[in-house]
Amino acid sequence: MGFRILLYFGLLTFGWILSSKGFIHDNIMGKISKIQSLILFVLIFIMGIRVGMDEQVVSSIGQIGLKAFVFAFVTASLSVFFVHIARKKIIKDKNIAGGIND
Amino acid sequence: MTKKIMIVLIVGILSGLYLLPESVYENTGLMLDIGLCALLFFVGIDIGNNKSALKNLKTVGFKILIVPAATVIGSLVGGIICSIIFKMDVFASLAIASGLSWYTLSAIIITPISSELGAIAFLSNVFRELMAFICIPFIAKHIGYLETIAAGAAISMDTGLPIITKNTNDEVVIISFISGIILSLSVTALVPLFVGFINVL
Repeated sequence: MGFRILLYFGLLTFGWILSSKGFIHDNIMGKISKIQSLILFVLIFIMGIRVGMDEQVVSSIGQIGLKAFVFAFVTASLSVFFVHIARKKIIKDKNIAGGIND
Repeated sequence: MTKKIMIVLIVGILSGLYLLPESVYENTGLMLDIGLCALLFFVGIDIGNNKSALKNLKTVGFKILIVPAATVIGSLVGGIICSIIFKMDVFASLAIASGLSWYTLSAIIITPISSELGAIAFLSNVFRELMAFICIPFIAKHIGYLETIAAGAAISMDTGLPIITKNTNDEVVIISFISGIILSLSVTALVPLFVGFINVL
């Protein structure tokens, strides 16, 4: 995990430095959003393949699927709720908070 | 965006189930790693091009740590509620909830205690990751940017980062990466901690 974090951080920083120093051509800068979208959809497709091919997931869905779904839904929803409450009270910067900041 | 993500995801799952040979699975890990590395490089370029991103982050400072903290608290409260719903051991439920989408690690740690709990942990964290993929565009648009990090939790530094990048802004991408690291480290501490209590009972 340590190596992965360093690799991800290194690549992020490398791209950051190249861009902030003006080494990236304007043509590429204009296409960054499209490139990111393309990679995103390829990654999601591969994730789907992995889920579909994972025997442990497929074989256990029938038995414990509902319980697992409830766990996922309740934990994710409450995490979103707690962050929502916390950021409304603590982080007022609209640019960072985004969304509805009432 | 959500519709496109769902379609691509479903096509991927169906391809994995019915079309592709098993040998493809071995290579998908490498493909994901390469795709993620490429994406993070381009995210870095995007952030570097936005001169105000770091300045805006400095104004918020350490307050951003509230995001991983609230995410963990929310998941643990969710774990307690699930233990009541399913009438199961509260520490087993907390161990499952502490997976924070990192399905491989949480399942590996829990399975030696109970294969059923391990399977629930694995599947619930897979579901949480898939839910995050589908819901992040909606959350970003209707609830808030920082809440997108809470949905996927530990995946906010890797597989969830591309969707957060597409739906929020450069400041939130940096917070997402930092939060993802903190949340991943939390999984390595919390799951064994709660599993330890299951052993005692």
